[in-house]
Amino acid sequence: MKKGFVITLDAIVAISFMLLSLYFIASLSFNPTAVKGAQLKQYSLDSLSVLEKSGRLGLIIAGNTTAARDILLYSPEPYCMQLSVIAANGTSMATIDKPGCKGAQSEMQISHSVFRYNGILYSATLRSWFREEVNE
Amino acid sequence: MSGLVMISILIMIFILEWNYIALRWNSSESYREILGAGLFAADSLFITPGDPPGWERIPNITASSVNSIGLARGRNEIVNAKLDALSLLNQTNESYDMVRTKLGIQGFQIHLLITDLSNEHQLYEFGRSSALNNSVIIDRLVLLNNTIPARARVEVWR
Repeated sequence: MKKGFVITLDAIVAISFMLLSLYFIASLSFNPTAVKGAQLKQYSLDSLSVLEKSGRLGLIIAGNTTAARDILLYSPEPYCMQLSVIAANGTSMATIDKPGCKGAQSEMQISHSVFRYNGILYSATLRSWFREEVNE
Repeated sequence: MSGLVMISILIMIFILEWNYIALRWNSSESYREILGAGLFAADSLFITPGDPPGWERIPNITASSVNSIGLARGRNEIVNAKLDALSLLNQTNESYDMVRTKLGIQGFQIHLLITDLSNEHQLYEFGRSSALNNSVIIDRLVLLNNTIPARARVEVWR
């Protein structure tokens, strides 16, 4: 009787351990954050490219940030973005945040672009991350 | 006796969990495949000009006259003439299938929708949209006429 109890208990512990292991493997088997991160990176590169080629980065230097702000504003809802432009001498020209986004999260993509406006070199940095989900 | 019942329950849970993992692996593998095809098609469309680069000027585009389809002059700079040519290829199933092949996604269906930045006005459309919730959507940003930013949505499904 005692021996049977020990064997049963041993089997229960072994199967429970196996179930926990399977649960752990199942939770690791698919990580959507990684593939979504690739999409965010592509969109960030697109944004920087469009900002530069449409002349919106130059407009920022001229003091008009509205056109660039629209690019960030109309990005897909889950994406948060912050664009900063600095001159070659390190002077910050502008920092534009997408409205409704809190501070940067750990999963962040950073894209850089160097452009010329009126003969002076500037650097644009676009930081992007996923919007923090609000649990109410 | 109670030990036997307990082990039976645990074995049942084990079998159910095994099935769940198998289903999950299959669906994640399928998702990855569709996403890979979508990312590839989107890059082909919005980063490359296609091969030959002036494919849109070929009078009767056939599978042998075009090696790949692309819409861009440079990264994200969409050429309107290429978009018009792509729209013409949407008219028959044969030309739609040819475009899928030239985009390297012959095993998948594709739907391309270009709208204005605020997503209110549809500017261009190509392909077949999925009626079911089984597609992967890739949002990209493009530039029309060198000045107008537009949203490009690529939907890929099997």
